Amino acid sequence: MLNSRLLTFQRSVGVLFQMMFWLPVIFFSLLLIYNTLPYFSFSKEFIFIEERLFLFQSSVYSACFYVHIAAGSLCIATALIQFSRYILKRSKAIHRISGKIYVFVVLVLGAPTGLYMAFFAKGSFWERSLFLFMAAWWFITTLYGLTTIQKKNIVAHKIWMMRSYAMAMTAVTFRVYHIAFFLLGWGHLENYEISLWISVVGNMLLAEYIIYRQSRHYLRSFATQ
Amino acid sequence: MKKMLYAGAALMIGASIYGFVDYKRTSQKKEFKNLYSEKKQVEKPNLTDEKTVVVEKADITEPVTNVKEVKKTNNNVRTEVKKAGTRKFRLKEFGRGRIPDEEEIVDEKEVIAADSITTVHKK
Repeated sequence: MLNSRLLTFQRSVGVLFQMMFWLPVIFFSLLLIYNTLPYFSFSKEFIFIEERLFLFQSSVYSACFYVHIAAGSLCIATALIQFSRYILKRSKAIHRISGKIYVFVVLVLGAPTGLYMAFFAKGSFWERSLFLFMAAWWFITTLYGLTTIQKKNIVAHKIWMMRSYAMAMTAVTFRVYHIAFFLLGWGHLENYEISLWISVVGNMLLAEYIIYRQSRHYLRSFATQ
Repeated sequence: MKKMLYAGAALMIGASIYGFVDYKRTSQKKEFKNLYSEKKQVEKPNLTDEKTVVVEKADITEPVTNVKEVKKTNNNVRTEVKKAGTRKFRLKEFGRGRIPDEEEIVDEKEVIAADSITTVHKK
């Protein structure tokens, strides 16, 4: 009796922590998508574009930007349902279709356009290098996620897809840090650079921590007594 | 699926080569060097809700002389109201672009007949 109560309590705490993680993730992801939609009016009256008007004179940069934001929104939207165990149990077809869209969008649209735009990113040499790394790592992790599931290696697929999603979510976490530091009164450029580094490094560390937590029982099985 | 992988890999290689070449070409231009340079800092507003009201009144009435011509300068009233700004966040600013400072500077300038000079001719 005590055991079942303890189990129920543990499960409730688990659900609470999951809610505390997923509710902000869903809210900020949807907010990002919602705020991206006005860009498709192709107006130049956005602060992001006004800052880079010189770059937007190039049709390649302009095309890459619009493809990148469309791809980013689509991959964030599709990724939201990819981690749902409920959807995976109820209908694998949804997971598969959504996954294929995610992989296509990242490999063919999001990562290559991000890589091109990284050369012209705001910040110093190191911030541009970070953007280049992000694009390359996003591509590699998604590629591994795809190849592992083709080999029916579900554990590795989950791990690589978590890493890929962590990279995709840097767009969201960057904005959260950017706003937090803005409200703390930080200057724009230092805020931009620090938010960028924290979002990338933080997301990677968080992904590795979640992977470790989820696989620690598996890792313990290798330990000798 | 394999075609997609090859297409993605080719695009990544293409983007890195073209991006590097384009960057080298563009970085020579003066516009690119000054692209992200910070504009002159606008004077930071006080965080208190201080109101500054500057009222300038200048009544200049030239003495009426017996001369046939009378010049009269009307009131020159200039009101400037400055409301100090606070850093507030709006949901639409959840983006990569710079978040503008909440500067509510209400500039009410009432210049009533600033330079109007009424000329009255006496007969």
